[in-house]
Amino acid sequence: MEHYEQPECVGNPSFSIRSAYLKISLNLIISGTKRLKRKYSFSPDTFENQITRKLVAEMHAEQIETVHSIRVDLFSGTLSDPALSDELSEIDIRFTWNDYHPNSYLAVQAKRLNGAGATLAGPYVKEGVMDFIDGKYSRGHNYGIMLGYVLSKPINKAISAVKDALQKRKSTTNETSSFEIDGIIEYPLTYKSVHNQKNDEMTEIIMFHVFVDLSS
Amino acid sequence: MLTRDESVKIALDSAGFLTDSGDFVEGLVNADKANKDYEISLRHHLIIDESQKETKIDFIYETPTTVRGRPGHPCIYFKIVDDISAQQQAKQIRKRVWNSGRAPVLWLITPTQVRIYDAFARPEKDEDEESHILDVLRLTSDGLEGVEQFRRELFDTGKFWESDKGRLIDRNQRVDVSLLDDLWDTERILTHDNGGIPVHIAHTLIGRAIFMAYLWDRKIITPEFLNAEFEHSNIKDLLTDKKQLYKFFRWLRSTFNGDLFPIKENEEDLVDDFHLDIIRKFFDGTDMSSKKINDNKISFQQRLWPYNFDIIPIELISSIYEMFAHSKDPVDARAKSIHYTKLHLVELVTSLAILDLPDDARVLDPACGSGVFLVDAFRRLVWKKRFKLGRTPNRDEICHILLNQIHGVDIEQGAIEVTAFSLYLALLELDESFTDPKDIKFPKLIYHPGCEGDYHPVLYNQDIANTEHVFNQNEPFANRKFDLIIGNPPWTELNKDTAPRDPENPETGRQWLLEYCQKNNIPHRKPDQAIMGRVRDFASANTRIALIVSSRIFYQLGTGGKFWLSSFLEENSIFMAINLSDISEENILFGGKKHGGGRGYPGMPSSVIFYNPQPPDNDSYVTYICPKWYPLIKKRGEIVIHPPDIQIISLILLRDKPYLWKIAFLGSQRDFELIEKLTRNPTLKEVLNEIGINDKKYCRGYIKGNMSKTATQYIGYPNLEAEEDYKYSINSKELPEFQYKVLERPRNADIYKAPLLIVRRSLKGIETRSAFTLDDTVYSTTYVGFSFDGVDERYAHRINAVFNSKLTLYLAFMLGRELVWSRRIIEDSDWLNMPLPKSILNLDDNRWDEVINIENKLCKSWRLLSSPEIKELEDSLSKIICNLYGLNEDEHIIVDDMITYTIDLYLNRKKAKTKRKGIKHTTLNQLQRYADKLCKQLNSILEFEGKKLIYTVYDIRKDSPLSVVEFKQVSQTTSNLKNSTTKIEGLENLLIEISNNLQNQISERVYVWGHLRVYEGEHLYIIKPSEERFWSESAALNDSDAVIREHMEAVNGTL
Repeated sequence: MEHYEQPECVGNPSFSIRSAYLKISLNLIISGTKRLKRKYSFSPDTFENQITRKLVAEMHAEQIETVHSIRVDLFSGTLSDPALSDELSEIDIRFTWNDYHPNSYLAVQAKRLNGAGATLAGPYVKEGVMDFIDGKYSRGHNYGIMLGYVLSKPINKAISAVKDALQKRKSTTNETSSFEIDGIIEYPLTYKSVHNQKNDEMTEIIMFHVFVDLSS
Repeated sequence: MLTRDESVKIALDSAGFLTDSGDFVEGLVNADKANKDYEISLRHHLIIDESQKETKIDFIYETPTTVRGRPGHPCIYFKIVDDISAQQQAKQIRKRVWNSGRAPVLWLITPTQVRIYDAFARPEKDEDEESHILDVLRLTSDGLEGVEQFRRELFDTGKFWESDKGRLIDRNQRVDVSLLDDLWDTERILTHDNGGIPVHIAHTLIGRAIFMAYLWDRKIITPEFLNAEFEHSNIKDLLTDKKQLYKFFRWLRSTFNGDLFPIKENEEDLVDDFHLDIIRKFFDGTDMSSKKINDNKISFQQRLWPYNFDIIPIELISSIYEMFAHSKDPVDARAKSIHYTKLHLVELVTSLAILDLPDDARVLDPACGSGVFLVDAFRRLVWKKRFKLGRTPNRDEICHILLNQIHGVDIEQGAIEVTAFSLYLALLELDESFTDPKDIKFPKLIYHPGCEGDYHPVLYNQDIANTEHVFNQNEPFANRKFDLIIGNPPWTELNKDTAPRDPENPETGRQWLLEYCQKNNIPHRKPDQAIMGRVRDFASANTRIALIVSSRIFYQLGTGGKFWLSSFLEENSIFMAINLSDISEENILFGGKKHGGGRGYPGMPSSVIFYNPQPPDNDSYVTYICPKWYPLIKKRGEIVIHPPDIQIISLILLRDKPYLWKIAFLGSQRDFELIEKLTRNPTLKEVLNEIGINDKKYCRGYIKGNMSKTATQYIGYPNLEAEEDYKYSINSKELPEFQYKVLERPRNADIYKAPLLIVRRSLKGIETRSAFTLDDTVYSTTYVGFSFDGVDERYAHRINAVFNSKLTLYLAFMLGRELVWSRRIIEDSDWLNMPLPKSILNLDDNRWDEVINIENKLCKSWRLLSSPEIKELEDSLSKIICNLYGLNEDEHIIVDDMITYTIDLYLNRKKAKTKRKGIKHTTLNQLQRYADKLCKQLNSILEFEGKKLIYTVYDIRKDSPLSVVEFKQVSQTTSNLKNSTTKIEGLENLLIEISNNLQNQISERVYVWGHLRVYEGEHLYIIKPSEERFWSESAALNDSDAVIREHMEAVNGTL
């Protein structure tokens, strides 16, 4: 039986909300990180979940001080993988606009990176990017965000390591457009790669990679 | 004089039923077209029957546009007549239209005038052509004079019912109400007065007589036939001759075969001429309530037109008859099930449930009562078949549907007999080839123990919970082959003394349903909830189940205090729920006499749930529809649904957050988000526990009840009872002394020990009430008290301030389990679950200083201050308290608007219209505030693309049904456009036109009143009814959310 279709929307919604929403989300991450850096210092051993919790609090604080208002959550629940129902995955941050639809969100997956020593670029791709590609979360979505907490300098080295890791796993990540710098927002450490998601419809997903310098 | 065609064209055009190009507006159909449409013909085929040329209706108008291609509510029947014959013909037409019970208004169009009748008014025996006429409009080539009061849009918008003419139409005269009253009075006279007969004989006598009248009105039995066989030429005369009448009854039984009411033992001895005379009077159109007794003789004062049983909807006959047939004992019947499911509720459920099922679908009603759902399903399946075949199905095909696709079970023998009777009537209606009584043989439908021959019973007089009965082994039960399980199962709690026993062993048989409840931990042994589970045994994963149940399912706790519905949802997927609780008190769902119990009765909160018996997956959604009360709902008798009443919600979310059923019933996603935030705070119970107040020190107050326990220990204490009205503080010295020596539950003395915080369980006006006292005080069950004996009383004052605030009222409505749906009570468990600001536990937190300062002022002088002074202090208090919960500006708005519009409308619905803010006409200022808020929300996002929205508010007349605001996306930097207000000539007429097309129909008498967001390039027009509640700031927040959703989910439903 079909659901009731709400007939109150007529025509094609054509305001610039979609693209603006992406920008406000990315900007909020950046401004939240700036606040975070002012308040806290992190070592390369800091767990990413500790950072993320603080970051979300700072993003909330940022929104209270500005007129910008979108819903941002620490994602507290778990999503079951439709293909592997016994496997659970967690999104770190979720921007959402529809409380009643669990699949309506823009996901942010945060991973630690280092400019020195073990860069952690491998886990960044295998445990981060791949979760989007496998459709563990953001299934059917056209956008996803990877957030790299760079905990030791030099930051460029961490970014290069990610680029290499992605290049190495090009076929596994179904990459259709390679990792390149992107100007969607005025933040120089924003990159973009494009992949085909491994779900039934082979959705194309644009991944924004945002790297933030949290080294002390 | 105008020609026939000219007069029709001018009349329809003048009243707005023709488009500019002269075509019919949507919703207006002629008889030919109506006959070709599945849904319209289902409802109206009898009134547009070609064989009744004189009275056949020519046009039907139903409110336009449909959801999924179905037609609208029948508002008006049109009949073209000649002037000369109008008088006599009008009476005949009136009579048939009244008997059909569908249209409230009838237009008779003549070449010189249009006569508009109140079609719900019962025709009287001696009425003339002026009786029940609403108006006579003169028709000339220039148009229809005075048509302004009857224009189409007035019906579409419901404004007609507010007019002087509309108010004349009395729904209480409708055929269903009249038939119910007359049957009720007939039964009463037959059974109660001099020489009363047993009620089961009265029932079968009435049932057989109705069948006889049906055959007569359908002309299946003719005067010639009666004369030849039974010595009388009409049925009224036959009713004067007991011997011939019973000969006729025996002939009916042997001729029609089947399971028609058998002649009971001793029946012929008990029934005498008096009883037959009463039956005859009933059929003769006597108003049975006008009985007078003089010198032991019964006479009746009023004569009305007799019923036409060939045109009264069969579902109506059976549904009303159910009230009588459901019990063998009239006293028991009155206590048990004195109601019937109104036809439009039956049609709502069946039309939605059966809509996309194939014509070979198998249907089961597990507690079929009189079979009203089965009859409706049967008719729909036959009509589906007809449209599939492109011709009328023949008798074999119709009987095949009846014998293979329609199945019912009921524990009452009488009910099963009425079901068979109703299905036979439906068979006669659906198979037009039934014209010769000798040609008719009904199939046997009812299972009889021991008769397992070659017939296939479809009706079982048995308890659906009986797992050992033969029906469990028969198809389609055995292999779960039902496509649809539908019905309105009983709701009344079962107990050992009264729960029905196995009907095949009524004295000592097992109480199957009660046992099922016990085995499956059904809360309070409610049979509807038991049947929701039991029917799974006959269903496959794809079987659709549609049941009318008590709305208690949304708040009732089951085993271990878990919400029962949450447990149910672990195994079942509800895909649609229509929560009718808000309109239950208006008697538009169930009809009948005002007695409690049974299946839903008038006033009992009910819901319709549609589900599949399989666990939900992560992508499962439920369409949750919560139609709301509106003024004149009783008059219109229609369920109107606004888009905010419809929410599509993740089923997993509803399962895991059961209070969302309540939040979505009242509010929006913003309310859900806010409640999620608020409930992260500690509850009162947790706070009390933290400060050392255990559950021995709080409780509901004493119950007087059966006065079985001594209460002398409290004599002399101050006593607080229901009539006392305190807020903030109680001066216990002013209270009367407690004087009861005995009580049913006196309660433990610890709960009365000061310092005390006492909260009221019921609302006072539109407020929650809490008060503090320093004296030991006894209180009744109207209150819940918390003793702060030995605890810092500053905590009590903090809680006192919070509980008297607006936020607590909001929380009570959102989280209170029964408040709004069932009773206007905030239960002790609701109070204990009330979230309090985390900081309440920190006595050093100086943010509370101002709270205590104001609370103390109000404690001292609440009774002395003027209303504006109290308001000022309470507004300040509420604001600070909201801040202590961390509410932001938008969340303040959400709380304020919920109270101002939704809660106010709920609590003040009986008050004058001017006092109900929510439905007042919106003002220009309010539209501007709305537009400002919406722009602020969306501009905070759009600025990231260098864009902004500006708005134009349209200044419209106060009588416009709709208001409109236009938004335009422009560049932040290059555009000079500013927000503006404008007035456009003729806009109101355009809005009226739009409003006509905004009302979509789900099923008969159930509408969706459309709100519209029209996107055109970089413009957005928001069009909604001109009521304040739809243009509030919280509505702006919700609409901005909707706009964001529409943009974000425009591609593949996701970002």
